[in-house]
Amino acid sequence: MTQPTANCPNCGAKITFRWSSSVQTVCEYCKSILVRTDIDLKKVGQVADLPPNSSPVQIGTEGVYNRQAFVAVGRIIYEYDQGNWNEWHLVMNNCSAWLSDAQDEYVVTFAAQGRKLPSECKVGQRYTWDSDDYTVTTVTKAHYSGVEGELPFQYWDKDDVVFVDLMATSGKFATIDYSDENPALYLGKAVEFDELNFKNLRNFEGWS
Amino acid sequence: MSTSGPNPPGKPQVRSLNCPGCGAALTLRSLSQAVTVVCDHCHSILDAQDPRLTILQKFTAAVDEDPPLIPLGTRGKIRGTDYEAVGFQRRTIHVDGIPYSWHEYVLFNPYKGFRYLTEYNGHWNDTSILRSLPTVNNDVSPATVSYLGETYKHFQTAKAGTSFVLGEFPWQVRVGESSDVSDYVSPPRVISSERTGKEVTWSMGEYISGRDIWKAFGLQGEPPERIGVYENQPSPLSAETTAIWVAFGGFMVVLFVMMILFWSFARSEQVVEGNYANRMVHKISRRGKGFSVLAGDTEYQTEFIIFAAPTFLASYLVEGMAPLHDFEYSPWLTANLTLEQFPDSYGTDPTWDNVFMESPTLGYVDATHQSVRSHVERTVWTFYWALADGLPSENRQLLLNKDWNYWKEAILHDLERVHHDIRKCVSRIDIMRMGHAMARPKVGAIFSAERRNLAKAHGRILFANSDLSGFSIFEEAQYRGVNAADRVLSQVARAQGPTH
Repeated sequence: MTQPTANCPNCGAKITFRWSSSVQTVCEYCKSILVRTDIDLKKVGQVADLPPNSSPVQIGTEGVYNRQAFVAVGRIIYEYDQGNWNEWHLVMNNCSAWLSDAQDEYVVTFAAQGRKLPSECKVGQRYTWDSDDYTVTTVTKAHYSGVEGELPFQYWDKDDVVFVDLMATSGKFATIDYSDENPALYLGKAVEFDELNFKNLRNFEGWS
Repeated sequence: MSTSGPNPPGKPQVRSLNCPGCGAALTLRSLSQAVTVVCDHCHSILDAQDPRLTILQKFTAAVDEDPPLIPLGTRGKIRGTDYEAVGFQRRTIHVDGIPYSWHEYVLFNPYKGFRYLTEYNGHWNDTSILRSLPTVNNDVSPATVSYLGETYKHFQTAKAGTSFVLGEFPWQVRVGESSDVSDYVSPPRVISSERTGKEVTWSMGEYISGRDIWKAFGLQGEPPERIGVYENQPSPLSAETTAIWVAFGGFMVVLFVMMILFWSFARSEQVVEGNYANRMVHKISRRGKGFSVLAGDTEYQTEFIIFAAPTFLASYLVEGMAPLHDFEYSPWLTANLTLEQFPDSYGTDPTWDNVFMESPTLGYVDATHQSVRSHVERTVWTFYWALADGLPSENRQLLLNKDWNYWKEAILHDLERVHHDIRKCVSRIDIMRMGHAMARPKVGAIFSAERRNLAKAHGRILFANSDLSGFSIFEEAQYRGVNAADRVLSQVARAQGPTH
C-alpha cells in the first residue's frame, strides 16, 4: 500500500497518510489540523491538549472485527457530564468504521446512509432499520473536545452535539449523530474486548 | 501498515492528588475513567473529571463506619482477568419499613473496564453491564425477561438508596440518591434493571462463592458466613436434571443416523429390485392393498410401510391421517465451534462430553475426541442446547426469529461460564436450528391412547420412531425399528401360509 506523504504547512514535518481516502489529519508534532485539498495540505485549526483519557486503543492499534483486519488511524474525543469517550476511526479493507470506547465498553459501527431518521428522539422510542428493532437507551448532549490522526471527513471546531444511542435485543447497536444539519446513522454492535484480538495497545504501567 | 510515529509510550497513569476539602492524599486507581472519587478522610465526593477536583457533595460517616471486606487497591483475578477494587458503596432498600443493606464493589481493569461484585449476608455476585437489551414480558405472572435464550423470573422490585460510598465510581455517585431496582432470577444468574429517571441500565450477576473471591483476591481469614438462601443461589438439585438431558444429547447424532436407516427401509418397494436411499418422500397414499409413495417424480408401490421419521410428520405425508395431539417435541440448537486453540478452563480440563452445572444448555462434545494424534491444537466442539423450558411452539419461534449473531452471543456467553477466553479461541461457528429435534414425554404420554395405538398398529403402515417411546434415544429407536420389522415379517408369513 502506498502511503501518500506531504509536509505540514505549519512546521514542515513529514505527514504520512495511513489511509489514502483520509480527508483530515493532525500533525503529530505541532498539532495543526490539516485538511487535504487537491494540491496540498491546508491548516484549518489547532488541537489543544487532548483531555486526560485512558483508552487502551492508540493510533496504530490493530485488531480484527468480523474476520476483517483493522487499524485505528484517528479519533474524535467527546465530553459529556459523565466524562469523555473516544470514537476511533478504523480503516478496514479500505472502508471506514468507528470503534467507540466509552469507559472500556466497545462498539463497532459503520455509517448507514439512506435510512429514514427522526428529527429528534426520546428515551424508550423504537425504530426499525434493516429489520432490527432498536430502542432509544440514551440521549447524550456532548461537546467535541479534540481530534487526533486521520478522519474521513473534516471535523474540528465543533460545539455541542447530540448523540442518540439505541440498542436491540440482538446485541446490535445504533447511534444517531445530530451534529450536522442532516442526522447521520451508524449501525453496528457491542463487542467484547477479547473478540477484537487487539495488537499494539497502549501500555499501562503495572498492568499487562 | 506503519505504526511508527511519535506516539508517547505508556506512562504511569496512577494520579496522586490532594483532596480540596481536607488536603488528604488521594490516589486515582481507575486512571481517567473515574467520574467521581470519594475522600475517605473527610467524605467529600469529588468530580474526578475536573482537574481541580470540585467537591460535589459531603456526607457524614463514622470513622471506619463500613470497612470494605476487599480493601480498595487489592487486585484479584476474575475469569482470567486481573481487576483492582477501586470503589465501594452500601445500598439500602426498605421492605415493610425494615432496612436491608448490601455492598457493591467497583472493580477496574484498564483494558476491560469496570465490573462489580455485590455482597449480601455472605452471598456474592459477579456483575457486569449488559450490552444488549433483554426482552421483557409483563403479560405473565411473575413477569419475565429473556436474554440470550434464558428466561429470568421477576423476584423483586424496590427503591435502592446509596447510603455510604468510598473510592472511585464510573458515574456521578451521590449519597442519598436512589433508583428503582428490579431483579429477575434464573439461578445462578440474576438480571437487574436499574431505573434512574428515564434511563434504564441492565446488568447481569452470577452467583459466586465467598471462598472463590477470597482465593481470587488473596484475602486473609474466612469469607463471612452465608445467612439464608439468596435469590439466585443455585440449588444443588437442578444439576441432576441436566445430567439426564445430556444423556440424550450424546445419543442424538447416533439417533439421526438410525432415523435415516429406517427411513430408507420404509421405502422398500417391490416394483424394481434395489435399494432407493436418500429420496425425499412427499406423499404416501393407499392404493389397493398397499401404498403409493411419491418421491420427486417417481412413484413407488409397496405392500408395507414402516414410517420411521418423527411420527408427527405422518399427518403431512400420509393421505387421510389426522394430526397428532399427544406428541410434543423440543426444538434444539446445535452448533459446531471451530477452535484454533484450547481455552482456559475453570475447575477441570475439558473431556469428551462436558456439561456445565446450572447452565440451561447441554454443554458440548469434543468432536476430535477420538483422534489418535498425540497433540491436538485445533478442534471442533459440538454444542447442544435443548430449548426445553416453556412452550415448544414459542421456542421454535424464538429459534427461527433470532439470527446467527444472537445465538453466537448466547453460545459464547454460556461457554464463558467455564472458559473465560473462549472468544479468543473460536474462529468459526456453524449453527443448526432443529425445530422438532427430540420428543419429550409430557404427563399422560405413557397412557395416551394415540401413542399406544400407533405403537402397536397391525395394519400395513407401521410406525417406528423413537418418539413412540416418549424419549428420543438410540435404544428406543432401535427397539421400535426391530419391532416394526418383526410385525411386517409375521404378516408376510401369515399371508404365505404355513411353511413345510
